[in-house]
Amino acid sequence: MPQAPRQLTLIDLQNATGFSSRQIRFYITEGLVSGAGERGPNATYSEDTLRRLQLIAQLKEMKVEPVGRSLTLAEIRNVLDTLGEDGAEAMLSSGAQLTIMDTDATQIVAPATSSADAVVRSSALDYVRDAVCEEMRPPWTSAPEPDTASLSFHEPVAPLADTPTPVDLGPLESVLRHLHRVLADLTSDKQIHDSERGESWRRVRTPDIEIQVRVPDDDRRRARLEEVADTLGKLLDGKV
Amino acid sequence: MNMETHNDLIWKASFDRRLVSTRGGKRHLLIDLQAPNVVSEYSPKRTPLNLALVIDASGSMQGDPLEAARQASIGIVEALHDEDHITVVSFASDVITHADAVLADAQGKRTVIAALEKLHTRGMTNLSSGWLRGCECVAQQMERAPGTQNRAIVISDGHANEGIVDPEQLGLHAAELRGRGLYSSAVGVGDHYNPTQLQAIAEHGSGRLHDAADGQDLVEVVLGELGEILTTAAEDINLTISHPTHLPVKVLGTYPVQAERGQTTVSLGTLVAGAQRQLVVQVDIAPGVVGDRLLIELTPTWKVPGENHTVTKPAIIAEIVLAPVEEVAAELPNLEICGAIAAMWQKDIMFKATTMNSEGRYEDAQRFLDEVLPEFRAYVRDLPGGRDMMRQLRRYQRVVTQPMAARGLRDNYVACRKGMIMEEDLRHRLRDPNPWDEPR
Repeated sequence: MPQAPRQLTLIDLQNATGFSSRQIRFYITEGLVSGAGERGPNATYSEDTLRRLQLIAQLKEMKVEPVGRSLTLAEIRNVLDTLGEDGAEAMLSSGAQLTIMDTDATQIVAPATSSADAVVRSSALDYVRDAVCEEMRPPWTSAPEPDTASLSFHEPVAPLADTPTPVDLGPLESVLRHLHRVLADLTSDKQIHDSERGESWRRVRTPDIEIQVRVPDDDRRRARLEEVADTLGKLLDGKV
Repeated sequence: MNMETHNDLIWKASFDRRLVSTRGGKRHLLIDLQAPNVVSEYSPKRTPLNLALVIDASGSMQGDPLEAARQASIGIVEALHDEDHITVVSFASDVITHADAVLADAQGKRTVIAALEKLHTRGMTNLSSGWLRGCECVAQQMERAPGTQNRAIVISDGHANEGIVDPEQLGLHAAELRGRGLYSSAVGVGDHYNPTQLQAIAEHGSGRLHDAADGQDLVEVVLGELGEILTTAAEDINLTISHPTHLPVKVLGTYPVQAERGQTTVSLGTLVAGAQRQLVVQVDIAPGVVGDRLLIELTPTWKVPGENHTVTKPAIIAEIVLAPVEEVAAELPNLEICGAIAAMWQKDIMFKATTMNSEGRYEDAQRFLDEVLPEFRAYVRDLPGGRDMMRQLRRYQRVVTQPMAARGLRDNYVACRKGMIMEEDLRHRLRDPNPWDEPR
């Protein structure tokens, strides 16, 4: 005969996780864990709630590298939403690290022993040198800001009758056209004021290429940027 | 009251009232931070200093200001220890590196002082290029020899009119460098410098903004800043406030704030030994049912000077409970906490009005005060000293809604700002220490 699921009191949860009753109530209010079936002193909680709280406790123990701080609540929520409970457990047992990118977005990277591409915050020297390079460019002066992407490509104009026929770039030209379209899409929404569209500098890295671009911060544009990086990587490798 | 002690860095968080009516309302959370008195509890030996002095050498600094900057810089160089490093950069339209992370032993000090003698004025004000060059020298030295206190001090009397001039962009760079362990402070000289540009560098750079009316002030505050750097107990202090997403929070004061869904992070800068800082968070509570509990989780983090890792301690939690109207009315407020909140709120109001005045927005200042003063009056009405606070605000309202003399405006701006962040003014002879005081 199957056993009835175990019901736990708030004190059981406290003892099992080390959280105070206030903290547990806070996580319930925030929707990070499910609450009791009923209110009052006889309130009981499920084992799923306990498991979830234990995961939160473990996630709070993790350090975000390289700064060494603990995970914030929003980051814990993000990990649980992204990976689910099983995924989060698997990540914790694999010894994965959490790493901050330049944008301060936290991402999970594989355990250091098996990954060569852990994303780390650049050094102060790298940062300041990048900033000096930027300063040399028009955006910091009174000139209007260019539209973000430092890549540019002009649509070829139709050749005049007496000019030599342009060299057929074949697949390369189609790749460049594709990139042009993607970049044009990335840099649309010009009419929206900067502060309203939540722009940020975003860095996309592949093993061979790094792109820095200022775009509105949304998932679609992030995906498009990764597409640009992949295409450029293939271009460099001569695969197109 | 919730209180946590972390390596003697003491945090307290208290709501002005624990209960709120089921119809909703506004509550204030006072967060009190006290640094330990003795720096040596953190680091028994003084952490070597890796310091850049970034000096404005534009035409307007000619004469007394540049000479004072030179004397202050020489004073700093002479006070350094043998294991420290010093960079000196001057900026105008161009940037000159007079000393690039020179070891401050006897020979190094002679070299740097000789270089300082060659400071001369020229051209426009490219503050960003000078500051970034100073930071570059410090950053290079950080790579050569980690484990130092890394700081750039910018001294300027003007409005940056070349290079990066947008305070937001300056603040962005300062914050990025702060995240990498390089902090920036600033000293505004004279009556006409742009406080928003220098403030952006100092606040986002986890440093301090000082005001110097003349050469004597300049020497005092620059040497005072060195003293504060050397007695820093905690740097890059951040407070992460996690709150229910339906509970909007607003942080009073000028602290840089980063807000996202359900989480607000406040950058509180640097604290010298024994210093105190208070932060007030306004919480707007929506109507609810009796017994609802609203919890706010506060997680402080900071860095120990000279060490790269961030200290994080367990969160502390503050709580508000929704209750029937009569129960809320019967709750006695904590007068001490309410008084501290009112004092911070008053300075916040004055600072905002002063900022509008400095931008020539006198009508905006009037509108802002008309809007906020009734709410403030209701809050302080029954508090000891509340009527005095209102009188001070009414008096200041008459001053701040019309043009002020340049020096008076600077003094008021600095006094309001420093009062709000409980920072000491390093000048010994203040003309008008508090703009809200009775005229003498």
